[in-house]
Amino acid sequence: MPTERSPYFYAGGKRQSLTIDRGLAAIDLFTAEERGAIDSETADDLRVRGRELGRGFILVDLRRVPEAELGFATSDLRQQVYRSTDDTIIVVLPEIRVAGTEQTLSTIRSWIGQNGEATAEDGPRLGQMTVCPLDGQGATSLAIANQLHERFKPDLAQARFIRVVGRPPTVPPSD
Amino acid sequence: MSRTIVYYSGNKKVKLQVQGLFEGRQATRPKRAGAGGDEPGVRFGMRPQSAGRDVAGLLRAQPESLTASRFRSWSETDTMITAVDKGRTSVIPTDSLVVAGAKAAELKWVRQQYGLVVSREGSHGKVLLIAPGDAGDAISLIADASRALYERGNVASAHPNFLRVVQRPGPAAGTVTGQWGLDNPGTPGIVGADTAAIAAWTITEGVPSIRVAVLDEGVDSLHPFLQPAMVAERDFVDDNAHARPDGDDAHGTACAGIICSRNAAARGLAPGVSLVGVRIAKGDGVDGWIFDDFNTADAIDWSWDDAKSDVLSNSWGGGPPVDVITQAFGRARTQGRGGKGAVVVVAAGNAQSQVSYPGSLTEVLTVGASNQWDERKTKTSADGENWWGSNFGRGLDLMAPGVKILTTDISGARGYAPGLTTPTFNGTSSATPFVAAAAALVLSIRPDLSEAKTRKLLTATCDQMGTTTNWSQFHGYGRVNAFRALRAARKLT
Repeated sequence: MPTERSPYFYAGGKRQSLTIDRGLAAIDLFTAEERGAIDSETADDLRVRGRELGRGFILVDLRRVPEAELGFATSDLRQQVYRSTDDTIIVVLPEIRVAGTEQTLSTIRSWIGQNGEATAEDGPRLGQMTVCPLDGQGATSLAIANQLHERFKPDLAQARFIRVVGRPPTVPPSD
Repeated sequence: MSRTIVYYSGNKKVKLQVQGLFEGRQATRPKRAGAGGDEPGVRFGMRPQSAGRDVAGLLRAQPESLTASRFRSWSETDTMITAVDKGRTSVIPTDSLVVAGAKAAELKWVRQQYGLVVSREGSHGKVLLIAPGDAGDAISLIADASRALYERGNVASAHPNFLRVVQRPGPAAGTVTGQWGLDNPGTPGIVGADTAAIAAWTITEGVPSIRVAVLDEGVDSLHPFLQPAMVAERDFVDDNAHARPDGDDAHGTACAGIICSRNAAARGLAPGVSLVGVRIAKGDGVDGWIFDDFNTADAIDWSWDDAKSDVLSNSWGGGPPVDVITQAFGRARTQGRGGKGAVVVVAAGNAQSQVSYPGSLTEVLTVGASNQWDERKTKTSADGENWWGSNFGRGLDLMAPGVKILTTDISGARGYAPGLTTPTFNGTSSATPFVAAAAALVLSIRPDLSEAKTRKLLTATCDQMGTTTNWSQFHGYGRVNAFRALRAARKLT
């Protein structure tokens, strides 16, 4: 698994820096329950103590939920949590959306096939391709998306981000 | 008491039946303003009513400079108000006269004959003459003098200077009481520091063929004030066919109401347009919002492509830029509306710092928040809300009302307030749908306009804020003015 030492991604052709937040973890509770790695009562307890991110994931503050309680969460059930330069929490999911000319997509499809780290399929829109790393790690999708940018310069090579931003302060804090 | 005054207008005599407004014993003549007088002419303790309005109260609210000269002899002249135009207009004769095209000899003659002296010289040969302070019946004196001046044949016009109280044009149904963003009465704040909705509605309230998408944490599509406008909805968070929010997620419902609420007491700026609800975020139960960038991009594409939205209203932002969202907005702007482009409107953000993404994109309309005093909303602006300020800097295009906005609310205890509305919705979140609604009004009368022309039109017709006449990093091009935008749209070729 190619973990980035100084993680980054591309936006508008420019590198955007990320930092790893080791105090947080994203856990795929849905898959854990499906596999029977965790009972529903424990899962519900974790949902209350964490923040539900959608797609079956919860965000866990490791200062509040000790690692001992997360023993069920094997590496394929955990995702690295990042912070952007404005401190936004980013969870990277194991999925990349790629867009470009037919020729570029064909070249990338061949490269993915030879590389053996991921699968590729067409969609979701015409002229797009979805690439999924085989190890199920968001960190891998970040690394593959960067390689696609640097090798093939497609119109789009974007790892899937879940972002947690501050809610607009539309009512007084006391409310 | 009633009588008739006669003057000339358009070379014809005009008779005006005027009625004494104040009854009872006449009060002592007020002192002149600036000499210790208080509220010249309107301090009698009686409440003149005309066309259902408190005229004296209205006059009392005017600046002293306006009322001082015109009403200094009110108490001595049976000051008269008469209603014309089926009661919608009140005409108030004053103790002054407007003459145009008068040479010095005529001014000398009228001074000798009637004691009128020059009060002020206006532009293009207009002169304001005022009755002497000791005139017993200044109103009659002015009427007589204006007729005599005109009949001598040496002036272009001469007639009493009237103050007229005209009912503001408005929609046939409902009012906008408490909705300062639509019609700012200056209580508190500055009169007219608003989106000019009342005037805009004389041109259009929007048409159902124009669709505005609200991309947010859901829209209560069953809300009675919004449901009539809903034409399409989808949930990209939980993959539902409806866009209704979870729990206490009230933000999107509040944004939608600012655009097209059809209730008289909580009216949207474009109540005639159609609404598309798009759920792209959810609250995290604490103080955060959770977005999945792929879902957001798909929601943007769905809005312009499948739901055929003409305008996309985005009261959200924050975090780093990503190509997948930027490119979806690009498709909306270039491929939406059959190639004319959908208008993308985005909130600047509320951290009183640099404009956040996606408002930082250059070809969207990025909106900051103004307050009732027409200031940029800051943590120290006059509104007193010290916990937030409007973002500024590169990417900011224009401003709109964003403090204590009355709008729709999810019903029940989980909303911002009890009931179906909230009176205190805040932020660039509330400013953004005002601009989206203004864009929808423009497209309602000019559906042929491109996205770029619509965007340019809205910024070119802003009311100036601050001292900068062009773009500034704090105000963009100024505060949106829907009426000016519509007038300009009609003329645009």
